[in-house]
Amino acid sequence: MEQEAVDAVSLRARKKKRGRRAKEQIDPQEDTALVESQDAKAEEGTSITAGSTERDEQEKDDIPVIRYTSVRQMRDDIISQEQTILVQRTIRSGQRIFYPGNVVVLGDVNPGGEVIAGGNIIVMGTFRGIAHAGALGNEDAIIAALQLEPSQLRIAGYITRAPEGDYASVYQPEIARVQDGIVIIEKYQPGYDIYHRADRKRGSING
Amino acid sequence: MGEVFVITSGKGGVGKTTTTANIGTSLAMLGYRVVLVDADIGLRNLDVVMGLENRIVYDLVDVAHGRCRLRQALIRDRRFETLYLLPAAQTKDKNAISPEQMKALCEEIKKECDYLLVDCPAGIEQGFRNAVAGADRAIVVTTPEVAAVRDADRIIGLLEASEIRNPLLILNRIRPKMVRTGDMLDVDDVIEHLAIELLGIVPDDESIIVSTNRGEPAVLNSHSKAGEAYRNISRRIAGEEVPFMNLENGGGFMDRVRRLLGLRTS
Ligand SMILES: Nc1ncnc2c1ncn2[C@@H]1O[C@H](COP(=O)(O)OP(=O)(O)OP(=O)(O)O)[C@@H](O)[C@H]1O
Ligand SMILES: [Mg+2]
Repeated sequence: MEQEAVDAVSLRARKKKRGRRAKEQIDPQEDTALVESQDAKAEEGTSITAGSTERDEQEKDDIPVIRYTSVRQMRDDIISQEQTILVQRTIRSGQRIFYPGNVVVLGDVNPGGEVIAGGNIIVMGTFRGIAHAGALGNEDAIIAALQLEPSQLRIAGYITRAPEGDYASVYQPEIARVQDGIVIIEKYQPGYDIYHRADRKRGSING
Repeated sequence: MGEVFVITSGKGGVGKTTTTANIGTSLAMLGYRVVLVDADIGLRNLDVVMGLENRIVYDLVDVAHGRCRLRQALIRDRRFETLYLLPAAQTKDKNAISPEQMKALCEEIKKECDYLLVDCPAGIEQGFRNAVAGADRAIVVTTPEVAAVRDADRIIGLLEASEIRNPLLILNRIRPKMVRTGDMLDVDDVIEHLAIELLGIVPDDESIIVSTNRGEPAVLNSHSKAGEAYRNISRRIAGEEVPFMNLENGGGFMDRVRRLLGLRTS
């Protein structure tokens, strides 16, 4: 996958090398959020289900089902199983959201507004404020917005701020994450492999 | 039962007092019973802008503390007999009045008028809390400057916290020429950013300064562009549908459409 590091003004903080990944946090034994079933026969998946109750009927109808059975699949597709809140409002100057899990904002975050999440932050609007994803130390956290014009982004211990002066804002969804010790921002594309692990282990959707 | 509007902005000097005087006067011109309350205690100037300065005997704080009756403190306008002003005190004591007292006062006044407009002081402290205490709705005034917009945003957040929903926006001191040359924040950008309903756009207009000094709100001057904008705003408050003034691209709503189509204009 092509990477375009748009944001150059990145400050490297504390951590030397990025080592650990989020997979350690997903323990398949204790995993209750996902319903496991015995077989993963899904071919060219077009429908995804987390439950197994309607399986037989669905397969009768010839609808291939993607079921999250193997640990490997989970790791590839599911970025976070943390609790997530959906916030429907504009976060204005002087307002702050804090949540230990993931935060999805259906609205804008204005300059001076802050979103702090233990997990990931997704803004279905324009992000102009301060975001701190992975605030409890998760360096794999991401920050995504339909339009990303942050005054400051933080992921775990890494901080980046907007370049000084005028810069043309791009009207496209973007995503920020930590790579090689700096926060990079790149264009978001559907089906985007956030951790760019495809080269290493992600195969077909069937794993 | 009347409706209480607080006119607020966060940042100072953006036109709250000018707005209060002009909207109040033109609502009275439309025949409504209007009371203007100057909540800018210690720095009163709504009375000056209204040209009623030398009629003040009692003030807001006197009423709140029971030193006089409401009727004694209300000053009737020189031009319109349905328009009244309750002036602010000149005291330096910021705590001369409490939000509870202010609320009670608004409740009392709104029984006998159609519109009660509260001119809020700048800032977000006690004065702001007093001014919003009795308000049903809020009008946020801002100018197309980054700092003013930022403060307006903060104020909108604080209004939410005070349970005042759906504030209305007035964008004051627009200079179409500067907007055209890109030296001023774009109207669309400001509206999009603050994401509240636009009540009106008021041009930067010398006639405001002249009228302020004379104590004659600009709405009384039929040649004043700003006056016209405020007359339109008042009609919108009264429930009429009035199209937005064309400020030569100042309100270029086409811009937004173009942007949505992905054709950047600038
Ligand atoms: N549309 C306008 N065109 C030109 N001048 C204006 C306009 N609006 C306001 N002004 C001028 O700006 C100055 C500040 O206006 P005003 O006193 O109404 O602001 P304010 O928000 O009440 O200020 P404060 O925060 O001090 O109470 C005044 O001198 C006024 O004449
Ligand atoms: Mg004032």
